[in-house]
Amino acid sequence: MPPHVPPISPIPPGRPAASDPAHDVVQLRHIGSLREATQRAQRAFLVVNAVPFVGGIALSSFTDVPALRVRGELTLGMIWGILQCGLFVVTAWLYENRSARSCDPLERSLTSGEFHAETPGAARATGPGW
Amino acid sequence: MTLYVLSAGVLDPVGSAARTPVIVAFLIFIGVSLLWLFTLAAGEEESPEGLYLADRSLSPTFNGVAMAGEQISVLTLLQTAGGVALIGYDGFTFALDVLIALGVLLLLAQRIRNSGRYTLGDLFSLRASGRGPRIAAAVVTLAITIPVLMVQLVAAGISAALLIGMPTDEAVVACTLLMGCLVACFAALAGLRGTSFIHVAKVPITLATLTLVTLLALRKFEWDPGSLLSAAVDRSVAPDRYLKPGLWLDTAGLGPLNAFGNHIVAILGLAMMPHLILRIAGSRSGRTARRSTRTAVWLSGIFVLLLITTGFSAAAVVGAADLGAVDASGQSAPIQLASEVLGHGSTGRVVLITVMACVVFLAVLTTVTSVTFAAAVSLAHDVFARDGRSRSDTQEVRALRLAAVVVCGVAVSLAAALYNYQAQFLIAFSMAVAASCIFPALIYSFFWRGFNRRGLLWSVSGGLLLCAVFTVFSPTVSGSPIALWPEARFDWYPFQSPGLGAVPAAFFLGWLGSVTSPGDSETAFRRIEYRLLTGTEVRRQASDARR
Repeated sequence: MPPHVPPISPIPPGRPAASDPAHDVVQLRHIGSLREATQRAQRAFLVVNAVPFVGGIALSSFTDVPALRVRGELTLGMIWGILQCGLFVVTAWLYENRSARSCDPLERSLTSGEFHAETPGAARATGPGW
Repeated sequence: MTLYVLSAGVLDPVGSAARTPVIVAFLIFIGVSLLWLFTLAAGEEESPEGLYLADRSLSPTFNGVAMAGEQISVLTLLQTAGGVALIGYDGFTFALDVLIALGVLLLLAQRIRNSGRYTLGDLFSLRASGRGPRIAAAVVTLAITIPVLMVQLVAAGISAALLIGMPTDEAVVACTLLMGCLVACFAALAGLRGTSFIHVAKVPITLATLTLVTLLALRKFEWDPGSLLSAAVDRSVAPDRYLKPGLWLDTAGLGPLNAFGNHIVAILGLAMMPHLILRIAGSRSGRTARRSTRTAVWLSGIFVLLLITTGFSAAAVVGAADLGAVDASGQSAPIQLASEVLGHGSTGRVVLITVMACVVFLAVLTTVTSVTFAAAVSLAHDVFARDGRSRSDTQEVRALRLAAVVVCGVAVSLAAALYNYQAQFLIAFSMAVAASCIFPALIYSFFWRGFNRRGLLWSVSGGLLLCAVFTVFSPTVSGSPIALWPEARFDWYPFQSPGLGAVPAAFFLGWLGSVTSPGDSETAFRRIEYRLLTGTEVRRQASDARR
């Protein structure tokens, strides 16, 4: 976040506003971490699904490749589509798991207004995979 | 869409033996629905949020199943299965679009819910103040929902007439009116919680019925899927092209970019329907909205696979000739399949047709009610409640009920008057408006700091205007066999979907309008982003005050 941006913090219910520079610094780091973790999970889901999907649609729109027979009446296009369907369902499941593991703890810590040096899940938010 | 041959009474797939049980089931269905409705109405609270959003109390699983139910519409259940049966591979790829659309929603669900907004007007107001965005949102909502309602009500009337064995013009109109009245009652009284319960009941019944007809069809081919697929190919209208791209006549002469654009616009349009946004907003939190969408994804995955197998089974068992004889778009495929998988004269056949009829009726009732309800909420919340006067909750709820009746009345009247015309342009228009007016506005609102009021208004109004113009001059209105007026020629817009031109244009207009006027400050955008990421408001710290 650029240095000129005023820091922001949540208003926990029933809690008076407090100005604590150290608190603000930690919170800014958490907002940035949450944004990055969310975007990383979304980017992975998008890329994994969009590339084969757009590829499949482009192939069936511009070429005859999907018409190639693979086994019996089954064509390459149909197998591609079924695999696409399976990939989509599996990656949706993994996306949710990854978000729950890496983003939700950061969100909870922000909204509760309680920060810890080692927020559960924060370290894993930058980790690889789903 | 229209059953040309119905009026001639060429085919009666249900048969006289099953007719009485089907009519009895239909009447029982209406009676139970009304009973359920009155029970709901008696216990429903009068607060607008309680009615619109079920007090944001829907659990992830419950709302996820209901969201999957939203995908089981008349169009997907009947037209997609029919498309697979008649045009093979091209129908198959469009069935996948129904599923992939949920991916777009999955990525945006948490931010939509965290924003705390539930109508398009609310969402547009996130980055643009004043009444203009709300009025634009109400217009866009009606432009999307009225065509969808018309098409679904016509499909419902045709299917009901087919099932009760009275395939005449008068019966179709009567069934359309009857379904419309039932839908108006539901939309006016049920609320989000009530419709959710019916969606949740519909999902297992639909999945079980489609599984059963598919298994029974497979049994006819000695449990060999390869034989079933071979039979589907052999009995199709073009066996050598059935499992290849390009059989869909609508797209054949319009070039590959047309088919590509149709898929992209369909996915974006299906994901951005107002009733889905309302359902997302009914979740308890952003996290539960995301979890609900995941549940909807896997249930919809099963549904789409069953639709595909049902379509191929219908082609194999019934044959394209008989499917096309009843309906040019093949939308009677599930019903005809149910009537052919068991021996004529058997009790099982009568039961199966009756159950399939109930599934169709449920699909009509639930999805048309959801769409009507979303339009009514938009009118009541964005127009009526924001007209500058002070309104009580009771008045807003009354306005919602009145709006539901009016929206449904308009849609039913148009559906009954126009049911004999080609209606494909309505779906193309509706999907394009959702894709070009809502998707760019939400993407900019959620992710771009520079977006502002002028950008929003230019994007939304430009997208809507271009959709209308492109639709009028597209091959769906003139100059092609599937056009509203096939004999006329003013189809200078070369693509079937107006969204292919309107979506990029809406993005461009949103950018252009925003860069030519001052946008939000960095601070203001960070506050919005904080809200979108966490679902809570923020305050400026003392350091802000010191600036």
